[in-house]
Amino acid sequence: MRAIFAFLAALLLGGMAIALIGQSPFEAYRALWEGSLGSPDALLKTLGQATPLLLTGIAVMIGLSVGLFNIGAEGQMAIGGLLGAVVAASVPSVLAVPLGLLCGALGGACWAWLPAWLKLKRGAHEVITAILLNYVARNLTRWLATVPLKDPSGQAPQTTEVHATLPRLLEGHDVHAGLLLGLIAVGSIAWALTRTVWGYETRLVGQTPEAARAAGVRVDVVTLRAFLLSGALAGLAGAVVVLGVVPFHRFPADFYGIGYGFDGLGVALLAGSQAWAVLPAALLFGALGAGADQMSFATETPKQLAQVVQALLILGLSARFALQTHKKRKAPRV
Amino acid sequence: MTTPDIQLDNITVRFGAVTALESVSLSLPPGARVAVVGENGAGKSTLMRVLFGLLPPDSGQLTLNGQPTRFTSPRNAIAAGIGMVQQHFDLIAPFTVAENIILGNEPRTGARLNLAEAYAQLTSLAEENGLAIDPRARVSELSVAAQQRVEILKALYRKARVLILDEPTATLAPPEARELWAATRRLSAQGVTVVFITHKLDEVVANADSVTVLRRGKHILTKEISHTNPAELAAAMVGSESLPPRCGHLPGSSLASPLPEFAPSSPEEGRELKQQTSASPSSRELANMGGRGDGARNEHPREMAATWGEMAAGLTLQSLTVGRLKDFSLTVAPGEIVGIAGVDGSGQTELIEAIVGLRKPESGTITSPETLGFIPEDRHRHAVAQSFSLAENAVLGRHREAVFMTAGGLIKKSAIREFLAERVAAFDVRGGEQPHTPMRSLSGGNQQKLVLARELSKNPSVIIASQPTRGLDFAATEFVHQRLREAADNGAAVLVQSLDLGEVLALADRVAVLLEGKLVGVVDRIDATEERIGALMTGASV
Repeated sequence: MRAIFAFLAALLLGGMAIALIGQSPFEAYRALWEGSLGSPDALLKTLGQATPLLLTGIAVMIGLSVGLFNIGAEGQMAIGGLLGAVVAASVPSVLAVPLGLLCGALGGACWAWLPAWLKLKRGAHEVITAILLNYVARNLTRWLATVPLKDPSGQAPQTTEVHATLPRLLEGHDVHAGLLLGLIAVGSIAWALTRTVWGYETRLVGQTPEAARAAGVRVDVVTLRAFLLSGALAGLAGAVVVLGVVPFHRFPADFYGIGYGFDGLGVALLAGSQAWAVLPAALLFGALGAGADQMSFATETPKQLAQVVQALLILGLSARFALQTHKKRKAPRV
Repeated sequence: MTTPDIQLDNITVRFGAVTALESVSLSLPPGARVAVVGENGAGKSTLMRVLFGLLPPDSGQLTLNGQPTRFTSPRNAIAAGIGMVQQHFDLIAPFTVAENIILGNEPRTGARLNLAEAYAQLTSLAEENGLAIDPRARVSELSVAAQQRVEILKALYRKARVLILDEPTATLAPPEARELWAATRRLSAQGVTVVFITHKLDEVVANADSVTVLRRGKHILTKEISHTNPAELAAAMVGSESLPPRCGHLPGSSLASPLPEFAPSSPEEGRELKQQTSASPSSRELANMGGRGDGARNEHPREMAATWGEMAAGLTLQSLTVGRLKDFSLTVAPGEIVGIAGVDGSGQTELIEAIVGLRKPESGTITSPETLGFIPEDRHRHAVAQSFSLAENAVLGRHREAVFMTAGGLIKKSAIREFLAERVAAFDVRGGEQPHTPMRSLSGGNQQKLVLARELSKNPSVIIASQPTRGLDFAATEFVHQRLREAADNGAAVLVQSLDLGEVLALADRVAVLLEGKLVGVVDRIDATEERIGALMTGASV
């Protein structure tokens, strides 16, 4: 209910902003609708946009389950994307996609290891360390793609083209096999969180670490494992974008900031406590993304303003999350 | 400001159906030092909260210099010259002493905060009252005793002439406590009234002019200190009515044991036991581990706590030192219930946490069998996950057993549901019929029953119960006691810790008494009168 209210409030505020620059909010929102759900073409665009969000959304969700906020997904994605691109450009084409994806996931996991380790050993807050590591990831990937790993055959700061890409599901459209990976990831993790002992212990540690410890659960191991998996999925998302989305097929120096990692936070928060709800949440974000493109294309609304609507939505939802944690803290302990 | 003459008459406070204070009176003549003593839950803090305006009484009269008065908030009490130092201090750690004290009454020059003035005021205030403190120090860097001085100064800065100290020495070392008492003597010499709560009777005798004893919300006695003695006070505190002997065994009842199909897997199959085979088979030696601090947490509690080889040999503790608990030795034999008595903070929490493996002992040995049933004091922290379903809570800690988990790591949903249904029926857990119900929707008593049902389902040969009936009503309390007695009759070694002496005496075959972290006596049930245990608990010589 609150989520719906936050969504409507965001639409209203966005409409006011559009009206302020002299555009018709109704025209703009119609373009938003047409660009996201209004036609089969638009639907496919939405699916394309939702693909990496499924992976980053479920990645953040796993972190939340074990009680950690993986704000570092964007950085893990950049590392995973770079590794995936480099590996897929240096192995034979038959191995390029599977090895690229695998190395992307491994890269993301490695990048997630440090904040998790610092949290467990030193008590450093994972949000702070992951944010700082995001800056490191941004500048590291930018430098690597600009200097040592730059494609020598071109001017642009980017890595060499990969030897194979994720297959398209429909010729001439943005939808690629990464969508299947995303669906499998969301489905299997949502299932595992409720039906396996791994998921049980993960959620238990997230809810009441002391009770988990008293029940003989190895809290540190469970926490680390979940956070590494979170990083791996974010890294996989990076590799999926690099290997699947059309203008890429290589790693550009400005890849960090593509936004899917940060949007993954919004997707997971919108999904709430149910992991399967990452699917509709990612579709909603994907639709907003595709619609925002159309909004700025069809009307004179700048793309930045179109993104404001999306940003407002995330803001409303983060407020909801903060409200919940606040309530939990204030609840009397009996 | 002169010290007001305060009189509390027939104060009654009710929380729902519970009467916390029943017609209690207290008089506070100017400059007096008044002690209020009683066991946990006797109503001491409630009375002080009424005096400080934190809690409006349901009936009764507060009189200030002969004038009937009502305090609706602490603001009224402060205006009347009353200050309170809570047990848990109300200080802002990153602020300096001066910043904390002047908060709300800052000396100003125009709009600017005049810190120099504040420092000068505080230095002279501290000197006048013999409460040494550096006004520029940060509170976070101060010892507990110094923080307490800051709290007292804060009250005095607000012109308090009546000081309420809630368990002021609970967290102080003996020399710090002596300094505090010296300060209260100086204050009272200057006409400040000091009211303090304690359950240490030697402090009362040494530092009070008069004493009021409360028990279960009732006013038991008020006496001049010269007309009483610790033995009389101890008896008044714990009550002298005789308790029924241990009774009410249900002959032949087997409710405490689970259906055979849910019995724990045999040791040869147990996951933890396999890991144990490489470890020392007899006992875990923890001597000379002093390097790890108090707070060192043990990562693998069950694996540490569990040692097999002496299956069903009860629980043996040798020279255990952990936190406040020093050099503690005790044996609990199979079939026996040993109770731990002691005032709060005597080391019982450390003892329990060390035995179940939540805390690493600094030295000493714990020998216990593999299967341990643990009913913790803080259910919410250690025994249940409130947002999890009843089914998920029912197997907490047993979830890796082959009965509930497939070899591939899947949860056996239907087995867990059956298990829950069986436990809910056997332990009369009201509201436990739906396996998907979240734990938080159960009442505290029913949650506790489910915890008990789960822990006893392990067929544990050692049971550790810490305040197992805290917050439960009479019927639920009786039920929990029955189940623990049955478990002992079936051969388990049971250790029960409770701040409620009545509970210890109702259950225990032997009572071990803790005072300030030391074992001061082990008394057989037959000799364990409330007077005797109360005297040991409070350090009074009888």
